[in-house]
Formats: sequence, structure tokens, C-alpha cells
Amino acid sequence: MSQVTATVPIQGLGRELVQNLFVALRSAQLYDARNDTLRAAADRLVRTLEELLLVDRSARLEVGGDLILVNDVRIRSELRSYSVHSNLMRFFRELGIGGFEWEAAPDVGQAARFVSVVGRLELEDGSEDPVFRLRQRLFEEGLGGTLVLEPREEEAEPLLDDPDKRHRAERTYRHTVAVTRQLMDSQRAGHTLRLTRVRRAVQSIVDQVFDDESLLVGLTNLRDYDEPTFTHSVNVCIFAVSLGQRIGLSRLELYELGMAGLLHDLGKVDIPREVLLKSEALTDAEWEAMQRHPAFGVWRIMAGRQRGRVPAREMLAAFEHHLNVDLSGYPSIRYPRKLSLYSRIVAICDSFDAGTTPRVYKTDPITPAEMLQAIDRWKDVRYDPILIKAFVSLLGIYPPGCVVLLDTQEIAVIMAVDPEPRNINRPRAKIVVDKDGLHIDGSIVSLAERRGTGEFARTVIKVLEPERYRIDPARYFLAG
Amino acid sequence: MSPSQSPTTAVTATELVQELVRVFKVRRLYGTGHPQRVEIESVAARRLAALLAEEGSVELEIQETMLLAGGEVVYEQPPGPESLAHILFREGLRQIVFHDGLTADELGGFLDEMTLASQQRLEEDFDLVARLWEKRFVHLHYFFVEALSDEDWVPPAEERLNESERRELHVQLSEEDRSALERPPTVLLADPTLYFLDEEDMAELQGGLDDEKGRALFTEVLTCVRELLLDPIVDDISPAVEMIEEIHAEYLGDQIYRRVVEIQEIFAPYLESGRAAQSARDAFTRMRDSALDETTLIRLGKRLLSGDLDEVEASRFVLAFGSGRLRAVLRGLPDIKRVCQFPAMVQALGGIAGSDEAGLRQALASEDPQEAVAAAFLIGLTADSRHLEALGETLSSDNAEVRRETLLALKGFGGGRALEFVSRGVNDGDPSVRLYALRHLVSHRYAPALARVTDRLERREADRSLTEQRLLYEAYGALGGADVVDDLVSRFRRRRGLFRKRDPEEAACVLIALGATASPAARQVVEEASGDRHPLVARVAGQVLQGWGTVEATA
Repeated sequence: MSQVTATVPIQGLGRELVQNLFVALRSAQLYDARNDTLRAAADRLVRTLEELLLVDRSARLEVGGDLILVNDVRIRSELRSYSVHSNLMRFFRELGIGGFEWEAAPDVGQAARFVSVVGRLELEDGSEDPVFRLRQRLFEEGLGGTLVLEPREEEAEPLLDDPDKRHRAERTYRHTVAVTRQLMDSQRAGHTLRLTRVRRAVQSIVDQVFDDESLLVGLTNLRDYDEPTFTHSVNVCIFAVSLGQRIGLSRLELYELGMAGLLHDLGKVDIPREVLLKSEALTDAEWEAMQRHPAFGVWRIMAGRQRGRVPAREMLAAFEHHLNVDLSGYPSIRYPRKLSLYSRIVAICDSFDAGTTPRVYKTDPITPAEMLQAIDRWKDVRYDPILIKAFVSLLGIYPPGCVVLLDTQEIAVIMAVDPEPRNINRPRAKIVVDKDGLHIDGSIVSLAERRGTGEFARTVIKVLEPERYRIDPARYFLAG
Repeated sequence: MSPSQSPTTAVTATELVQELVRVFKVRRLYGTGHPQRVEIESVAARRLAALLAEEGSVELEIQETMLLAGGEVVYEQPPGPESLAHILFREGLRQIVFHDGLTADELGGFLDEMTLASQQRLEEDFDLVARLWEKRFVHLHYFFVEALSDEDWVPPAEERLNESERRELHVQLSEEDRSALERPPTVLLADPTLYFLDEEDMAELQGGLDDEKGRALFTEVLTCVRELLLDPIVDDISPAVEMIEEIHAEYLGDQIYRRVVEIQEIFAPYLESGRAAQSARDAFTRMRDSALDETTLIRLGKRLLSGDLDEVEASRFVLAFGSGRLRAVLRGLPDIKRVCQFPAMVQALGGIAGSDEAGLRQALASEDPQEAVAAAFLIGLTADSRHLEALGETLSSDNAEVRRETLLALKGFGGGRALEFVSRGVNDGDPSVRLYALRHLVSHRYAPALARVTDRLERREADRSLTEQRLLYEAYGALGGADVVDDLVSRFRRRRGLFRKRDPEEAACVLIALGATASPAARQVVEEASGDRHPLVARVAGQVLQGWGTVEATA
């Protein structure tokens, strides 16, 4: 029995709170408390607080280290909110406060006065406790209902150490692969397209990505060497949903994107298995057959759709995922077209996963880092350059599953990208071989960690070929 | 959260279910906004909130006909549309948990879906579980059956290293890898900072997202299908054809005419390519027919006339589907005269009519008066001389409205032939047609029609209106000119009846006729009449004189 994880909308409300508080503070620096612009910003802030208090009976916004937390839920910074997040964190740090807690939603006038006090608070050197000072100011203004929180101790985000989460992610992954396999098998057997289970699986993926995408992204290192299409489809779905989340797609949009990702290669059902699994280079005829899979995919989705529904996203992604942004690629088209955003996302995710998967089209797999480089080289021609940036920011310079040599002579498997964008090349890694060359079950470390001297404790020297050292990166992403 | 936490007392669960059932029943009976429904829902939301605040959460196990809490049956109802248990069970749900904090919106959203599921079998691909997921509940969790739960994929074991074997391995870095330790770190991507998304990137991305949301997905899909049809790799193209027809029907139903036209434009190259399958051709014929059916054209006309539809969009639609099918347009489009107040529509209809000479003639001869009237109107609008003879023939139509419109159309033409046809209208059975004809003949002073007018004038017609009488006289004067002045003068002076009285109305009409002759001889008579004792005669004489440019006024 499965549970549909009811993702608490604290993420959404939290983002709103961060955004609205920031805008109100900025407005307060420009206008006085009676100004209409400021009052409108205050009104939005009040509404968010009311909703948050209604849904979660608490409204607390805290800044700790590089994180913003609302009601103890880490609010993920999306592309579109990145500058707001970083500016708000800096503002709080400069004020020397940890955040605010609202016991009840203020009225608009109170909220406008609150942001005026906070936004115009002069930074003072000195011995006075900034939290105490602000509390006093708010009390004087009759705004004692808003509590000023002490700065949180620097707190690193847990390093993938939540076994429950890992188990859930692994379960979702395995289940989705099974569902995909069943879907494709039933298509091969000529049965009608049934997508109920696929939809549920994609919904689970969306929920998990909302919760923590790094676990699922790590699991994309798992491969089915006998029939890579299943894991590949699921991996593309995971990458696409994760990338979609980065660029701010809504939950329902992510679901559509996930469906598009999962079904993008449905047309491979029509390609002979011996061609799909061939270990040598494809002949011209085989390659020609292979190039038909996008069209076959569309025909299958079209034939399997329910009356009254046009699965547009799925059809477009199936058709366009091998078309490059300059419209080269395949299938060859007669009329120019603008590739859909979802197709452009799926194209990047597809290339990345296909390139790093062993035995696909019989080219040697390359490391995720090399694949990322290769994709980067083709920007503007094959891929959307901005989406590539977003993809790199999702996976980091060293994507999860990369096996790297560290300057400490240790070998590590990259587990997750660091949440702080400036640490794009300093991910979290699990030490798997110590400096003496012994395989160990080492801990997960952050490569952004510094020694007392200020130098980084560990730095990636080189990306290694895992097979050479008999390292199977995938196993480190399993729950155990 | 595990499915079996915190056993709930059966009493609380029973109360909760009773509330749910009550609201569920009310929803099945009353539509949104019904006062009774609103009242019961609001009471239920309050009661549920109180129950959950006290209990924390309530877990219900779902069986085919029962709901259970803590192992006790709290609800039982045999399968049917009223059975909450059965609906949930049928849709694959096996447990549902209500948490403290459940909002009225959440309750409403849940019951919306339940009501829908009770009223119709939900689509297999978009079942209750999928629909509930979209609601994104916070205080309501549910568990469902996964048919494949025991068949999850297992990563191939042979690819995974044996743990003890792995531990025994001693890693010797290759020479190449070892040497890397002595060099600066490999730079993988030239400058990682290039991969930070800056404000500009984010703005572009945002623009891309907005653009994506603004795209017409159906259109994109259709252009994709066009590519597939032009290079077919499957024998059975029916899925594509069915989908195109469905999209066409949806756009047409939603009255998004520009999109309906777009579908035709998208597939025109395919249909013209010679590769189009017969099934596709048939489908497009059906689509074209449906675009011109009466209901569609009436709706289009109404929206256009009410200002709710852009004339360019409407004209594109009419042009796209009406070309070569003029008669269908004329049959269906209501109130063509008002429709043709829009220049774009005139252009479209004129274009269609201009390229379908035979269709226009057939329409003119149609037994459907709306079609014939519309055809006559269009001919008049375009004044296409190719249709002059046909118009002349239409004057013999049985339908007065058709004849009237034909006469109006003829007025758009110059030349003797057209006037000859118009003159036939003098003898039409319909008074309004006769009036139109007379006015036109007067304004053109078409002398050859004099005989007809005279003949008509001489007839004694009891039902002739004063207006017609006046017009007949005016035409008589205008067409006869100086030649009929004497006759008119004698008519003016004629006395009739026992008391040898003059008919003042006829005298007034004769004065108008004298004025229409524009003859100096007539003027004298009119001037005299301006001092007539009968006020009507005197007033008309004055008006006629004014028409001559005379400033003299008579009392």
C-alpha cells in the first residue's frame, strides 16, 4: 500500500513569506508607513501570515547559516527567488537577528509599522544586543506581538543521513522503474496504454523532489544493464522534475513535465530489442530505425490517449527530445518550429542520462562530469544555454555518482550538490577509499568545509573512472 | 506516518463519518450555493474541526462496504453511488486519515471529488487518487493499493560488488591518476561562476516560462502531427485523425474561431500534398461541414453583432470555410445585412461570392428565402454585372422579401438593363416592392418605364396607399416630363362626383407630379395652386415650389 505524501504547503507559503517580507522591508526603506505601496506590500505579508497561521498554527521565519527556515521547514531557494533569499539572509545577518515569530497575524497598519521599524533600523556598532534593541523598539511601537529571534547557531544541513527519507526515495525509484517496465512490456504485447500507475508514480516523484531532490537524483546512478530504457526513462523523469522545480514550475506543471520525461522514449517499444541492446555500432539501417522512435512515441501516446484528453506535453516531448535548438537532430522536420520548454528540458536530461549510461548505443559511458562538459559544449546548438546553467546548478560541477580523487588522496563518490550556489564545485561526497587505498564506508563530507586555517579541507583533483577502481557509485545511494 | 498510528475511538470516528455522510448526501441533492447545502457544510466543517482538535487525528480503514476505526465498524453501506466506503474502495483507497486543522476548503475539495466519483465512473487514467493528489491536502492523508507493490524493480545484483571482496581490494591509483595529485586540480568547466544564474538569466527564464504558458499547446501538437502525417511510419493514422477532429470540435464548441481556422491552415499542405489518406480527407470534409452548420454560423453571427467577436477573426473563419461553399454560408449566417456592416465581413463574403458564380446563382434561385435574400444582397453589394440577368429572373420569385431584396440589389447597378428590370417592379404584387421600384425610377428618370407607370396610374386600386399614389404621380411626372403636363393640369382641375368636388389628396399628388416634370409650363399651375383655398393643396404647392428653388411662400 502506498501513501501519497501530502507535501505540506509550507514550502509554498514559506516562499511567499520570504518574498513578501523582503518586498515589504524594501518598500519600508523607501516609503513611510502610510504610503499606499508600502501598505499594499504589508497587506500581502499579512495575508501570507494569516494563511500560514491557519494551515500550520505557527508563523516563524528564521535564518540559520545559509538556510531560511519557515516553521522549521527549509525553504528552498529557486532560481527566481535566489536574489531575494540571499538579500534577506544578508539583511538579517547585518541586523544581528535570527528571525521573527508571529503569534497572530497583525493588521495591515501594524504590519506596515513593523516593516518600517525593521527596515529602517540603523546598524549600530557597539555592545548593545541587537535582538534586545529591536525587541525594545517593537515594544515601544506597540508591536510586541512579533517576537524577534536570536541568531541560530550555524547549522549545516543534514548530509543525506535520514534513513527514512532514503528508504522512501529508493522505494519510489524502484517502484517507478517497475511501473515503467510494466508499461513498456504491455505496449510491446500490444495492450492498451494504461497510465494510472505511471501517473501515481510520477506524482510520488514530484512529491519527493519537493521534499528533497538530492536523494532521487542520486538514485539515478542505478542502472538496469539488461534493459536500460526503463531506468533511463525514470532517470529522465527525475532529472526533468528536479530541473523544473529549480526553474520554478508549479507542482502540477512538474507532474506534466514528469509524465513527459517518463514517456519520452515510449517509441523505443517499436525498435527491435537487438537494436536497442546492440553492443556494436549501429548500421545505417539500424540507426535509421532508431531515429524513428520519437515519431513512434507520439503515435503510441496518441493511440493510447483517452477521448477528451490531448496529452500535449507528453506528445511534444516524445517528438522533440532529439531535436536540437537549431532544429537539427531528428526526426527531420519540414516546417520550422519552436521547441517547447518541456522538450528542451527533457532533451538535456535525456542526453545526460544516456551519455552516462553504460551500453547505450554502445558508446562507452562517460563520467557525469564529462557528460556535463559535453552538454555544455553544445549549448546554443543543441541545448538551451540557460537550461544548461540551471542543470549545472542542479547537479553541480561534479554530479552525484561521480567518483573523484581528492587532494587528500582519498577517493570519494559525489552524493549531492551543496545547497549554496557558490559551492557549485564543492559538493557533498562520501569517502569510499581512504588515503592508504583501502575501501572504507566513510562518512559523507562537505567539500565546502574549511580547516581552521581557512583552506578547504578537501578539494577535487580529478574525476576518476569508477570501473578502473571497481567502485560502483550506485550502491552508495541505496538505503542499505 | 504509518497507516496504523494512534488508534481512534470509534465514537469520534462515527461522529466524523456521520458528518461526512450528511454533507455527501446534501451535495448529491443540492447544487453549489444552495442555502441548505451551505448551511450543512458550514456546520459540518465546524463540527469536524472540533472533533479533530480534540482527537488530533482520525484514521479510517476502508473496506468494500464498511469504514472501520480501531477495528470497529463505524459506517456500513452496500455498494452503490451513496456508499462512501464503496466509492473509496473501488478507487483503490484503503485508509484515510483526517488531521487536526482540516480546513473547510480541504473538506470541500475532498467531497467535490467524492461527489464526482459517485456520479460518474472516473476516467481510468485520471482516477480519484490522481485527482486527490492535485488537491494537495495538508490535513488529509490517504493510502491506496498499489497493484505492483510486490514487484518493485531490484537493481541487478551481479553489477554490485561483493562487500568482503571490495574491502579486500587495495586501490592502486594508476600512474596517470597519481600524477594528477601533483598538478593543480583539473578544471572541468572553464569557470564555475559562469554557471551561476544571474538576474538576467532568471529574467530570461521567467520570460521563457511565461512564453510557454502562453503557447497554444494544441497548435503545437497539431504541427507535430502534421510532420507525422507527411512522413507516415504507421499504417493506421486513425489516432491522429480522431485527435484532430476532437481538437477541432473543442475549439468550435468553445468558439475560438481563429484556432479552428488554424487547424485548416496547418493541415492544408498535407491535404494538398497528394499524400493525404482518404480517411483524413473525409475527416476534414466533416470538419468543414461542422464549421458551417447552422448552429455554428448563428452563434458566430450573434457574437459578431453583439461586439463580442472581432470582425477580422469572424471574417477569417467565414473565408476559410466558406470558400467554395457559399450556399452553406448564406443559409446559415443570420442577418447578413447587419453582418455586412463590418468591412472585413464584406470583403470575406464578397471574396467568396466572387469566386463562386454558380453557387451564387443557385443561392439566388433557392427556395430558402434566407439564402436567396442573402444572395441578392451580396450581388447588390458587389454589383457584379455577371449576375444581372439572374437578378432579373429572381424578380419573379414567389417570395416578396426575395423580390424586394432583388430590387434593392438592382438599384446598385447602373444602365438601362438594370432599370428595365426595376421597372418591372412597378407591377409587383407587393406594395413595398412597387414603392422601391417607383422611387428608383423617379431618381433615374427612366422614361421607358412611363408606359408601365401610366398603366398602373390608371388602374383603380382600392387598397392603394397615398404614398404609392403620390409616388406613381411623381414617377409619371418625372418620366413623362413636359409631355404630360397638359394631362396633369387637366387632372389637377378635374372635378368629380355629384358636387363636382376636387379630391385634395389627388390634387396634391398631381402637384408633386407637376413639380417632377421640371417644366416651366407646370410651374405656373403650381404657383397658382399655392394660393389654393385647401390647405393641403396650398402646402404641397409651396413645397413643390421650394423644390424648384422659389422663395415665394404662400400663406
